[in-house]
Formats: sequence, structure tokens, C-alpha cells
Amino acid sequence: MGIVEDIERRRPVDVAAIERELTELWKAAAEAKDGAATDAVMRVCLLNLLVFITDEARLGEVSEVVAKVTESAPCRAIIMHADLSRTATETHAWIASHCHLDDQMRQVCCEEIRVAASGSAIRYLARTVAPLIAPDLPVFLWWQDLQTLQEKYFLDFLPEVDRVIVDSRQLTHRDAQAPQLARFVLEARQRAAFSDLNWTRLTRWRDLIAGLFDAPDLTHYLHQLTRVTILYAKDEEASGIPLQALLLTGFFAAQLGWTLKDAYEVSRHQAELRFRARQRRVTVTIEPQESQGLPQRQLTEVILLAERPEMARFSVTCHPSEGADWLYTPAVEISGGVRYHTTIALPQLTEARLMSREVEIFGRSKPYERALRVALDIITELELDAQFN
Amino acid sequence: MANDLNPLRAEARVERTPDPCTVVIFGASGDLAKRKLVPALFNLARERRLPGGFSIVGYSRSPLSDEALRALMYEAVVRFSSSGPPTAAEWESFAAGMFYCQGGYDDVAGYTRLKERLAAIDAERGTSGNRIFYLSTPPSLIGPIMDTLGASELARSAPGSWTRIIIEKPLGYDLKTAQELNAHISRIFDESQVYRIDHYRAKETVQNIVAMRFANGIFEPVWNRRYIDHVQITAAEAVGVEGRGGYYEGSGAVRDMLQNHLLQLLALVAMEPPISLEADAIRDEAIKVAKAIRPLVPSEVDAHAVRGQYTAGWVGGKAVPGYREEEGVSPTSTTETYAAIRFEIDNWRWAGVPFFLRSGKRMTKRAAEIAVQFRQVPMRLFSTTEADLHEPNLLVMKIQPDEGLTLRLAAKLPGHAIHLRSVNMEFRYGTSFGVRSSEAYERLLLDCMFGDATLFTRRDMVETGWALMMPILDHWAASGERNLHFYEAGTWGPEAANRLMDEGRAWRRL
Repeated sequence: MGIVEDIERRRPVDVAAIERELTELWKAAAEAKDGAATDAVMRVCLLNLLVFITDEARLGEVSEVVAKVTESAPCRAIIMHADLSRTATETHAWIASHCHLDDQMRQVCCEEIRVAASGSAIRYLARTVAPLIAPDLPVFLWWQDLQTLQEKYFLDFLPEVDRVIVDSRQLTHRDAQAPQLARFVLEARQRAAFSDLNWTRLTRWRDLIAGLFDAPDLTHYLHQLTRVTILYAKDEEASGIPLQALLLTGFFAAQLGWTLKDAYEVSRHQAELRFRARQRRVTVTIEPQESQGLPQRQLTEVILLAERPEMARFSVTCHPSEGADWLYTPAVEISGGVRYHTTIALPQLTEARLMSREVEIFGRSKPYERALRVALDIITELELDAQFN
Repeated sequence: MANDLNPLRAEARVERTPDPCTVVIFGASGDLAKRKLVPALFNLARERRLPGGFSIVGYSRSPLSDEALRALMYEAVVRFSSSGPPTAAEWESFAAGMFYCQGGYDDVAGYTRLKERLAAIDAERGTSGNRIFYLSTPPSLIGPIMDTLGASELARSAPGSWTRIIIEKPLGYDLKTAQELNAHISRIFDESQVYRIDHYRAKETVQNIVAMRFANGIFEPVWNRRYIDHVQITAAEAVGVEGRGGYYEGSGAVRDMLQNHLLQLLALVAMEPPISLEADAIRDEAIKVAKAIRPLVPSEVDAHAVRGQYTAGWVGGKAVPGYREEEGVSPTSTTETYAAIRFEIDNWRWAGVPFFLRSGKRMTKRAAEIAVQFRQVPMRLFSTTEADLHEPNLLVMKIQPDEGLTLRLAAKLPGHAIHLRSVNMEFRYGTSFGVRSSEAYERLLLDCMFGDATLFTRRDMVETGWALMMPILDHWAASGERNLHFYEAGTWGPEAANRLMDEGRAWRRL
């Protein structure tokens, strides 16, 4: 892909006149390329990407993410900024275009509309934005403020969108929003498909771990697992188990048919979870380790052990590389002998990369919903344990 | 498929991976292995599309060690990988599964060593006895390799595992040799084990023909003789024989392009909807329509087929020699570097709709496409002055260099008067989906590992293709230079090709 090039022709417009103004914008962009071929500027749109933020400081970052997403998924982006601190009822809009050069050096452009609302105007954001959605194309809503998920102005969007994307990265089981989010998603899933970037960060882990068991003679170990250890990069300031680790545990439990028996906190950052799986018990330990250059609360290693009839150890480790990639090491040891050991360099999971992946997917993710349900059960169990101990 | 038994992959949105396996490349030190095969396998590994334990064994006559093969392939991947050179960690991981075995192609002792090596890899890397034998060798070695694979019992699958063989074109020189080759293959391998590569089929747009036709309801009602005037299928190259004159002298445009690639494209455009996307369901429909193509009788060949040969000219800003002046080419050669054929399909859908196929070297530019030309509207409501430049609707499926679809429509020019112009609606893979399309060999190798033969050519299609071309090839062979039309390099082929067009039709300028 080519270089991202913002034409920097952002300008304030009347909300009611946005479509007309966009046409003018495109005309101006084409004229700016005078002398070039008639298709010098191509307007391409595969989907609508709506982004809701309450923190104005995030505007620049979000716009950059949108620009990156448009390289792989040309879209109409509508970035909504709700200024909760202002009481005056106002709506302002701006339009701009994101352009990049494709592999044949043609300029491909997508639209970005920004809408800023304050006061009562926030309540009607969905109505303001609905006419701006490009028809007949999928609509993704990236809702960046988890605290406002119960608000009517969020719920009003649900009929308009195909998929809601949130990010629970910062949450631990001790945050009140974690169970709220889980309950909300599980209840609201009939109205819209939900996704969590924190779950998307796990896709790579799930893939690599699943890959350890693809060989036909290794698959059966999945039904003999007795111990699982999930390690994550320590965060001294946060309290509680990262939701990501609970989602991964939920994934194992849901896919392998484990039933939660009990859960307790070993310490502020460590938990032990016990499951029943047919005739055996499975113990999952989630514990922190020094971050070693990885972002706090990110998973660093997952170890799965089957102890009978022989010791089989399956693991994936993540560590930073000298470059921009992270190195993942999937390994299998059977009875102490190395069966498989490799290192894979994969790019760091930026928000742009995660979002680009998210907008490729439509509909509900049943594995996510099942994992989330188990995670919610674990949180409930950990809360009960904390209350009685 | 082992993946299907892995509960961690159930309903997951991660891409499935094939069963662990070993790819044995015969002719490992050759050009194809270095330019295409190993870089394609590396790209698949980089995208984590290969299973854990995946291994490569190179086999050839050259004396090489495992390390020497790895060094050779490292250079090849650095140079030819479409996703960029490997990092140290990536290469270390990929190269750890790469091994070499030296031996002659008909040397049973060499194959015994290969067998032992494969068994050791199965034990060490868990490849479970699954093997792909890739014959990246000259056609003359196909027979000896298959015989020796058979004699050393490498062609048979162990219980619970699979063995497949990939064969590159040319699949015979004519109908007789193709039938002999197929008979030879079938003595050693079951047809379900045989994967005949047609890298054209793996291009995105070619696969998109099926998606476009059968996932869009708007096309099927007009996809027939009532609405379509004719179809043009073109594969034009700007390059000449590129130092492969010796090979091309025994081939020519019909054998090299029309008999296989272009005929496959015709089948995909013209076939009836398959009952499923299973490999044989699609291939059954493709062979059905190929068999409905009316074969030319010798007396029709001159009227329905044109052959040409390029002379010196100017291509891409450079003077280029004529074909007969190329290295390895006879100065009196009658090998066609250009061929155009008009076919008709005798079935209810296509009766009376001509399909024009053309392919040539040293043409104006590199381009490959399928153009479906619709009929004119039944009544011309609009004026036909010189200000009106609209033409009938046209749907173009571009295969290279810029994969995508173009639909030509008529639209009114702005202004008081009604003047029409043709405008194009374009869909281009490169701009609509900003993801890298898989290289043809990546797709084909992965499909073979999955056991999906959809994009590979079945025996009956190979033989039907030859059967259609033989009257033309025989007629030309018997004609000497009589109907060989020369064209200047850098043009769209010989003037004589225009005579295949009638009733106001014309070859497209691409």
C-alpha cells in the first residue's frame, strides 16, 4: 500500500448540507490533480465506520486510525465527538478526505465526516448521523466510551448499525464496568452484533494455541489437559485480573466443555480457577510477570499441560523483538522431548490493525459470546469469594 | 481434515490450516522452485497458513546439503518473495523444516533414501505421512519420476494419511501424447491424487468469475444468447520468448495458452451453474460446456482460426527482434506466436454467440481479460450523430495486470441537447480491497494441501482441450507457411485476425 496522504481540506459545514459539500470536496480534489487521468482520484466505499468519543484529545488518534483502516477497507467514516462537559446545545460538522496511493500509485480517497455535539444535541446524535450513512453498505460503530453504553443516545444507534465494537482493554475483574459490559453485550446481542478489540487481540493467541493441537496425533491432548497457566505483563497500578486473561480462559472452557467449579484470588493480581471436565479437573492459574517490554496487562505466555498418561506441555510465549514486531514462540514437548518449537514474528497489535480486522467481519461471534459468558461467571465467582473472605 | 477435529478451531474466525505435511520438490535446484515455489511457501508460512511441522524436501541430481539448499532458497526468497525479505527469526523457523535429498530421477536407491528421510521427518516433525510430490522438472522427466515413485511405493498413502502429486504444464504435446501421459499417470496414481496446475485459474479475477456469475442475481437473466452478442478472451504479452526460443519452437501460442488457459476461462464464463462449490461439481460443468464447443473441421480452420508470427518492431520504447531472429529459433520457423480462434458453443444458452480467443507475444502491451459484449438495444431512441459515442454495454473481467471488473454504460452528457457517451464503472481489487491478493502458486499449493482440486485441471478437461485444438494444429502443420501471417512486434497482431470478426464486431484495443 502507498503512503497515507491527508488532503487537509477539512472544513466546517452545515450538517444538513454535508452530502452536497462532500460532492464539492471531491470535485476540488479531482481538480487539484489537473492534467492527470480522469480517474486520478477514486472515491471508494465498502462500509460505514462510525466512531463515538467523549474525549476530544482522542480526535487526532482516531482520525489516524481511520486513515489506516481506509487503506485496507475504504469507507465513509463518521467521527462523533460528544462534549459531555458543555451544556449548550450545539452541533458542528466538518468534512475531510483521507487519501492514499494504491500499489499502482493511484490516489484512492475516502470521506471523513466529523460531528461535534453538546448539550441536548448529544441525545439526538443517532438522528443527526443516520442520514449521513452511505446506504446499502455495512455499518460499524466503534463506541469508545464504555460508561455510556446504557445511555439512550447509544441505544438509539443499535437499529442503524450491523456491528458495535468496544474495547475492554483497560478493564480488570475488579472494575465495575467489566461485569456490566459483559451483561450488556449478552443481553443486547439480539439487537446488534458486538465485538471487543480485547477479544480481537486474543485472535492471534487462539490461533497459535489451536495450531499446537492441529496435528492429528496431538489433538487428543486437548481432552487430557489438567493445568493451564496464563501469564500477563504486570501492572502495579491496576488491581485485578485483566479481562483479556479471563476471556481466554472462557474460550478454553467454552470450546473444551469445562464447567466452572470455583475461583479465588491468590493475590491482588493472581487468581486460581477450577473447572470440571468430564472425569478430570482442570486448574487455570492467571498470574503476572515482569512486562519485559510488552504493554502492561498484555498476555506474555500461555502454558497448557496434560499430565497423564505422559507429560505433554504446550506453550506459546510472546516477547518483544528488536524491531517493530513481537516474537511468538509456539512449542510442544512430549515426555520431555521437543516435538515442535518455532518462532514467528508478527506485527504489534495497533488499534488500526485491530480495527482493520474488525471491519472484515459481519455478524455475531459465537465463540466470543460463549467466552464472555464464562468470563462473567468467573468474575461473579471471584466477587463472591472476595465477599466471603 | 484434522483441523475439523480440533475444538479450539470450531466456529473460530481464524483461517484454518491444512494437515501437517511434507512437500517434496523434484527439480529443487531449478528455476521454478527458486522463483515461485519456495517463495510462495515462505509467504504462506509468514501468513501462518501452513501447519506446524510443515516440511520441504528438495530432490534433484545436484550434490547439495540441507544447509546449501537453505542458503540457496534464502537468496531466492529474498529476491522473489512478494511479501518482502524474511527476518532472521522468520527464516530460521522456516528453514528448520527444509531438507535436501540427492538422487537421479529414475534412481530407485535415491528414492529409497528419500523414503527414509520422509519417515524420519514424519517422526521428528509430526507430518503424519502426508506428502505432496511437486514435479518441477522438464516434461520428459514426468514419466521416469512417476515410475520410480511407483516402484519405491512412495505413490501409495499409508493408512490415515494422504499422498498427492502436482504436475506442471505442458500436459502433452498433442491429444495422443496427453492421453498417453494421463494413462501413464493413472497406472501409478488415482485421479483424486493428481493435481494438474493451471496457474491462470488461481488468479483472483478468474475465481471471481464464478463469484460474479453465481452470487449476483442480475447477471444470470442476461447471461445468454438473447442479450450477449459475443465474448472476447484475450491474453496478450508484450514480451517475446525471453531466451526460451528452443522451448517455444516446440510449443507455440495454441499449445502454450489457448489449449489450456484460455479454454479454461471460456469454460468458466460459459458453464451452467454448478450444484455446489465442490471441485468436481465445478469441473463437471466446465467439461460439459467444453464438450459443447463445436470442433472445427479442417476445411473451416482458415475461416475460424488465424495464426501469426511477430517480426522485428518496437515494444516499450525499445527495438526488438523478430521471432525468427530470436536465439534458439529456426530462421524458417512456422511456430505461431499469435493465435486467434472463433469458437461456437452448441447448447441452448450460447447457440449463435461467437467466443473469440486470442493470445500473442510481442503485442502492444501485457493484458489479459474476458470481455462480454452485450447486444445493442433493440431500438435506437437516441440520435447517432458524431457527438454520440456510446456503444453497447460491455462487461470486462480484467485478469492482468490490473485485476477487476469494468461495466460500460451509456450516459447523457450534461447540457441541453441529448448526447450520449460511454462511461465505465470500475471495480479494482487493488483499490477496493486493500489487502494483498495471494500469488497464484500460494493459492494452488495451499489448495492442494487442503485436498481442494477446484482450481486444478482434470484429465477429461486436458484431453477435451487437445481434441478441440488438434484440427487446427494439424491443419497448420500441413500448411507450411501458407496461412502464417506476420505482424510487427508492438502491434495487436496480424491484420488477418480482423477477418474473424464480422457483423460490426471488432477486436478490443486494450
